[in-house]
Amino acid sequence: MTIFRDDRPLLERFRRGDRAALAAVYERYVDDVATLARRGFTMESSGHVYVRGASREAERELVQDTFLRAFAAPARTAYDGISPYRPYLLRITKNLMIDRHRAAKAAAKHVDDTGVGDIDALLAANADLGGVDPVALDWQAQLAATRAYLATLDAETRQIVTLRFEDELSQEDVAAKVGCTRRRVRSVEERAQAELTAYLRQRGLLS
Amino acid sequence: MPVGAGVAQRLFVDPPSRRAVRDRVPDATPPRLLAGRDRLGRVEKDAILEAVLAGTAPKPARAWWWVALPAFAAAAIALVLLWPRAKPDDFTARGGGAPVAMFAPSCTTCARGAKLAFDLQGTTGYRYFAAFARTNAGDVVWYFTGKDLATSLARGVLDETVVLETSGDYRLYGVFSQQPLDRDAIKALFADDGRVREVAGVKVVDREIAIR
Repeated sequence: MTIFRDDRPLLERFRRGDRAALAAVYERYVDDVATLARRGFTMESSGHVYVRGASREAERELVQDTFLRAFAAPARTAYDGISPYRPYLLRITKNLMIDRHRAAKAAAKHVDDTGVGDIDALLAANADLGGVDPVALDWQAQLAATRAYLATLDAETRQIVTLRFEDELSQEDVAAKVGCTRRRVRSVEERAQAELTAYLRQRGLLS
Repeated sequence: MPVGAGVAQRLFVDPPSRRAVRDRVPDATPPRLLAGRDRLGRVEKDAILEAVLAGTAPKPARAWWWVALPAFAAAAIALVLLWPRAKPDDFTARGGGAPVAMFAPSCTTCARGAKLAFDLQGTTGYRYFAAFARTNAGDVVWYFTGKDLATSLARGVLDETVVLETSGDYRLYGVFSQQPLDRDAIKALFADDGRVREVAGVKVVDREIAIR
């Protein structure tokens, strides 16, 4: 069911670009968009071409670009409020993924033309690690290092990190639970990410 | 650098909006490691939403006025001192009593989407009323200015309500005055440290509200 069904005021606020309304729509559909970006899809109309899921950074960019496009003023005002909104959003994500898929193929062809050879074969050869997924391998090593990093934190910082990252509470809710300001929560979460990045880089676990 | 990265980099030039989200979350891996799950988590979602709203939503009123306060202060004090005095009317204190400014919001812990009403019962000696709210982060939401209490009250309650749209903790300010004050004049009432300046004929009353 579309989020705007039986909620005309929300649709009006959405069309005006009201931040709370945009945030409500985003929260309702962000996981669907992220799942599509991560998993990829098959294009039957183009002879079963499989558009691969994105890397972490590309997934985040796809989510962002989908909502930037959907929330732009012309798209907001043009939406009729009756057609289901989820397929509309996912169509934007798919189109973005197809554009990038085509651009990546063009880039690979360019490399081929310049004499580097078949990029797929080259990448496949480089990725041959005896059947072990190198991304999963990296992830497990990084996760172990993250646990070691978390053990170095003081109790309050660890609680804020747990509530914010694991339990996925809002900054306001974390502040209320811990008894500090929202600004403090924000500062702790930013510092934790920066420190963890440095910690992983020192150990050669992050480029 | 992976094979073909230079070409890919030329093909995928980052638009400013994408760079903005990278600045907020420099790398997608640390937040996911801290969450223990390799999928988009709350912190990344918040950063993306912030970037999307920055790129698409009309800008809310920002707390720029703390910076411009000295100039506004001088202008407002001059305005209040030089403004021609109004003739006494129904809203001027009578019998030598001091003016009284009183207001109570209709809720202190309010539901998002609720209407906020302003109860001004007990107010005497002030003719005009303005209201705005400020978040802990300093963002300001203007509700109205220059409401003429001679024509805007029904049994002591202001005839205009505001819809509370965004969750958070707010300090709600009611500004009572004998002359109508615009936003600039109201901003000038506040010192750099947020304290209210004493200005004749003006009274600022504040209340805390939370929108959930």
